[in-house]
Amino acid sequence: MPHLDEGLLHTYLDGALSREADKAAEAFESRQDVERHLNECAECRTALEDARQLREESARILSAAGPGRVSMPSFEELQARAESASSTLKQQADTGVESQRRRLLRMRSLAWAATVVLAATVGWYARTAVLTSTPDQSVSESETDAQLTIQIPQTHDLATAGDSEQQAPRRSRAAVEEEGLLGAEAEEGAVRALGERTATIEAVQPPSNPPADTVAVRRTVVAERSDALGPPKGASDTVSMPDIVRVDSGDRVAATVNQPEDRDRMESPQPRQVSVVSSAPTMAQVTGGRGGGDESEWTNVDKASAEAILQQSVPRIEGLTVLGYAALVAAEGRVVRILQALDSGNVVELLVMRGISEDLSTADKKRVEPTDGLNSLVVVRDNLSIRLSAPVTTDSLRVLGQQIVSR
Amino acid sequence: MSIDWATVYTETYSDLVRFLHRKVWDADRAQDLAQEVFVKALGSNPDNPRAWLFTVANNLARDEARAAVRQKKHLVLIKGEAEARQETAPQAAEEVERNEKMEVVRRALEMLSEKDRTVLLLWDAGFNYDEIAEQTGLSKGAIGTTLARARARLVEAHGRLEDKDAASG
Repeated sequence: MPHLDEGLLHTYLDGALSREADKAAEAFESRQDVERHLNECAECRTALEDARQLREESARILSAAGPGRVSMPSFEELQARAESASSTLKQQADTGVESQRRRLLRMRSLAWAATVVLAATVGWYARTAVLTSTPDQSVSESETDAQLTIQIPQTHDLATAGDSEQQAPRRSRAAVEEEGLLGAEAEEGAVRALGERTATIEAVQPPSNPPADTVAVRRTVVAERSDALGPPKGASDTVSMPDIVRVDSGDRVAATVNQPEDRDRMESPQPRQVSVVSSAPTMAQVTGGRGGGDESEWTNVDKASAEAILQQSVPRIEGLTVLGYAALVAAEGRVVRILQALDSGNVVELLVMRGISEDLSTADKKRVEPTDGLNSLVVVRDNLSIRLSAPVTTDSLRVLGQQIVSR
Repeated sequence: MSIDWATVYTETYSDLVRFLHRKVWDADRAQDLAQEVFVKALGSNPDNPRAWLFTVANNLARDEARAAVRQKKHLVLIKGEAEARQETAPQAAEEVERNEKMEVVRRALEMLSEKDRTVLLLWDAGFNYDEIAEQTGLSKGAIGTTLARARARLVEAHGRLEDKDAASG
């Protein structure tokens, strides 16, 4: 038998050797085997003595690091602590559930409050946006929503005009087409239509008879889509025009436009309601005071009539919804007025002129003094003088002027 | 099978405190932890109560050591205050000597590997080879070798530390 290794000697000293060898427990030597070898081997006896001293020394060292006197509480005291700890844990669990339930209730209340505050804030901002979108604050709020004021010549005989408006049948582009007035003869027909004051309006005579030279027509134009898809394709160029025209005192015509009707822009979402207050110039103002255009009057027309009047395509600012067309025919020339929605609350006005004063038509760009908070700019496109007016800066107007197209 | 925890408590408590003391090096804390282990044990029904107790105790001591690491900065801060108290309060010479000896043993044990230290402390706590093998996952035949190596290294490290202290002091 070889010499006993140190591990086996310590195992022997610790009393961990079984009487018989136990290979299953990896105890290959039995106590009897070790004792037999120790009796025969002096070297292993010396090693055993060294291991015994090492074992005793380590035990001595460890005992020096003992906890000292150990106080041992009674087992009953320990049981009481265990029960107390158990009840405390249960109570903490119950408290935790209750506190969690309260926290959830508080969170729910806070969520409701936050929702209300959010809704109020959104409403406030929406209201602010609507209120600030009206450029002319002098007009009362009930009237500012979608009002368009158009000046008419003060010498206009309203009684006559009213009669003719009342008697004139409603005419549309379809009606004009039926009469074969489009094409080469369209211009003539449109002019005749304007002269006969057979525009697509209805007039309601006021109860009183104001003086003819100071009476104005307050015209409320309500253009509404018949459905979400809009009118049939054939009527795409027809602007649904005044439903109600009411005679009122003053010298202005007010038009309320509730719905943009440019079918070319129907694909993109547009504001449902547009409002603006602007003053349409008289022919005298347009022509710089030359000529006698005081008798002329703005009349709402459709796009085809406007094109016939201008004898070419009506220019417009690309990307903006066209709200409507109006025309003014006088001895000095013909002017077409196009209104386009600038944003949810503002409109840009284009006055397109043919045969207007030489000074104006030859100017490539000419600044016009602002009136009523509006800035104006004159640009020339395709032999047309176009005056842009909008409640924006001149620089913005210039940018808008660069986006004018005639198609 | 219900466990007679009263008997287990009587037979194991001192060993558990001693085992814990060599882990946390604080007699009061070792006793608190030992009692906490038994409080936990009373609500349990393990197959081997003694092995279960020492396993829980080992885990508690390990958590205690981690907490001690986290509190190290704080302990450093209050160290000066504690030393000031020691200077003003007269200490018994025996207490001072005992603390010094315990500190040397602690440092000597820290020089052992984790496995050697655990096996040695379990043996010192009264575990037999089978229990140590079950607790540590070592084979029973390897326990003797591990214990022999641990004892030798402890005695060697302790002697070296005592010589070093004697030389410095």
